[in-house]
Amino acid sequence: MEKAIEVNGLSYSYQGGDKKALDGVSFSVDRGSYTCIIGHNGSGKSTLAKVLIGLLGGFKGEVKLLGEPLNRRTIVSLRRRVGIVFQNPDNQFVGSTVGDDIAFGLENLAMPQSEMAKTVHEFALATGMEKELEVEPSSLSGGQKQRVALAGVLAMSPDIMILDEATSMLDPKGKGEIDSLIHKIKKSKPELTILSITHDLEEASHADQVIVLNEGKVLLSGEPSAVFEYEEELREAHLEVPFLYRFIRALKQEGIEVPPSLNSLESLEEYLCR
Amino acid sequence: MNITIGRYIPVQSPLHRIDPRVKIFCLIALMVACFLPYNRVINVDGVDKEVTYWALSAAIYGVMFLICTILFLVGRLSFGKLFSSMKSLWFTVAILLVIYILVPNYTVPTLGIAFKVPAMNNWTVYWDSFAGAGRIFFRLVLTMMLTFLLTATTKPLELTYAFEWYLSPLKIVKFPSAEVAMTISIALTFIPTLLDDVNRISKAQASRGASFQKGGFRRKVVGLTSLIIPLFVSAFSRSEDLANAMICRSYDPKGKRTRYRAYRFHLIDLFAFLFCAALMALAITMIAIRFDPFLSWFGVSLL
Ligand SMILES: Nc1ncnc2c1ncn2[C@@H]1O[C@H](COP(=O)(O)OP(=O)(O)O)[C@@H](O)[C@H]1O
Ligand SMILES: [Mg+2]
Repeated sequence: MEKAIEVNGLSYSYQGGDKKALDGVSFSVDRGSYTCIIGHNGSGKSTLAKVLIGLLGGFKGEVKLLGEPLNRRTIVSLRRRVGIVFQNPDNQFVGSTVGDDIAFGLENLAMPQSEMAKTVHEFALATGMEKELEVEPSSLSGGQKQRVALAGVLAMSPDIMILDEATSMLDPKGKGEIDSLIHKIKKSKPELTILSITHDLEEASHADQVIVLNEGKVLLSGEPSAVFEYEEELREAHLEVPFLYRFIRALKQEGIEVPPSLNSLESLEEYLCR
Repeated sequence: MNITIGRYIPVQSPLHRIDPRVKIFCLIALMVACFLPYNRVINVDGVDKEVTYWALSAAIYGVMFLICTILFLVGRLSFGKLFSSMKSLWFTVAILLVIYILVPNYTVPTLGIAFKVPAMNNWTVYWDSFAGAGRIFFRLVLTMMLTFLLTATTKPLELTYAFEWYLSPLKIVKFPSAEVAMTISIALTFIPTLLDDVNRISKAQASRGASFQKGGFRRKVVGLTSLIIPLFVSAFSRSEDLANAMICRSYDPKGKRTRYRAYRFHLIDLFAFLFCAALMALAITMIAIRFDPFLSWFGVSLL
């Protein structure tokens, strides 16, 4: 399988920081896969995202994106193929209106004006913001702003999309909207690699791969069902395993084996009732 | 916080449709017409003296006021907002009048004596002082009406574009007009966010006992500091995030960029341009040829 992201022995320290924010991190992400990175506050998730998008230079170790090593020479061309949505909806809205913001990246890529309106409309439609093209950010909800941010990233047709806690500042409704939108995007663009940093272990249970960060190190990584086996280790890293996986583990301890492909309560219920 | 003047009012009108670049030109042209000195020469004791041509000035301000009023109606703007922002104007004009009475700003009075003040050694007050204050009043009112017309019918986004367009020739001397325009546009976008921050912080600090209105000077200063410092911290953290977001979306101020919004001149822009250019040209010509409508009608200068 072709790799979208390969990270080898990555370490990073902030200037003036007493300990390493990232300490010998290694992992790889398959192209077209959906990977979740989980970890409690300060575990280095955002630092990792910033390294991957080329915002933090001077790291130790090796980072390869789409087969190319990330360095000063490749940073500009690679950045065009990697998009990121940050946590705070207010702090990433660059344009004066929804349309202008979706177009911002396209303007930077010097897309001809004649194509731009069409592209902007296409991605506004894909994110359900087509009626708000002329609306200013001050009259949008947090969820709507994040949808615009997603549209702006997708319009640049990236190969990798990073979401750094894109829903953690939203209300449940906004979070639900973004989650289902990401689900839709994943379906309609199977070749897009998604790296989602999240607090939500429920969300992580739907991923192809879960990477657990703790104090700048990779604590665990693998398929969700395998990772969630390590309940004690996760708890020590201040992470609570979702109910489903605690339940499956309890079943195993009672000697009832369930296939690892089950990742929802409904499918488990169906399986057990058979 | 209420800012009545300088806000975009989203309605449909011909004025809203005019190109922002043309609108800025029109504003400047009409302001020039308002601020030109309309003078005439009179002979006092065998010496030629230049004095303000009050009758012509009044006529010009009247015409300009009429034009602005019509534009208000065309632009579907309410006069109420204008009047409410004119409240502070009366005070300014009253002070000006007192100054003009005590320190006359005319070379030769031409409008006659208004009254004398016996208590002040028979100090003579001429109508010219009142006319002078009146002229300032009308200039201010017209300036307010014109800027209100511009800002109420033009989105900040469009204004920024127009500024960028006018500054773009300065690129030859390496002036970063596109960056300046981008900065202005982001600053405008972030005003509501920062106002929210002000509200949030002042509530948080008030609940901790900070005072912004009550108390002595010292307490107020302390209160204000407790507002401003967190505000700056928040603004800096926002700006760092925003800079990151812009870099991630391949923003390169030095690179070639295209533009999402298309601005093209239309027929209505040509009309607006010609109308305002003609008005300005007319005003300048009247001054250049020392136009004297009242002299030519009656053979002698009446005023
Ligand atoms: N700009 C910075 N300067 C110094 N230290 C930082 C900076 N940003 C983050 N850190 C530190 O790096 C560590 C990892 O932070 P971060 O990557 O933001 O964690 P997470 O996103 O998982 O919450 C934390 O200990 C944090 O204090
Ligand atoms: Mg973070």
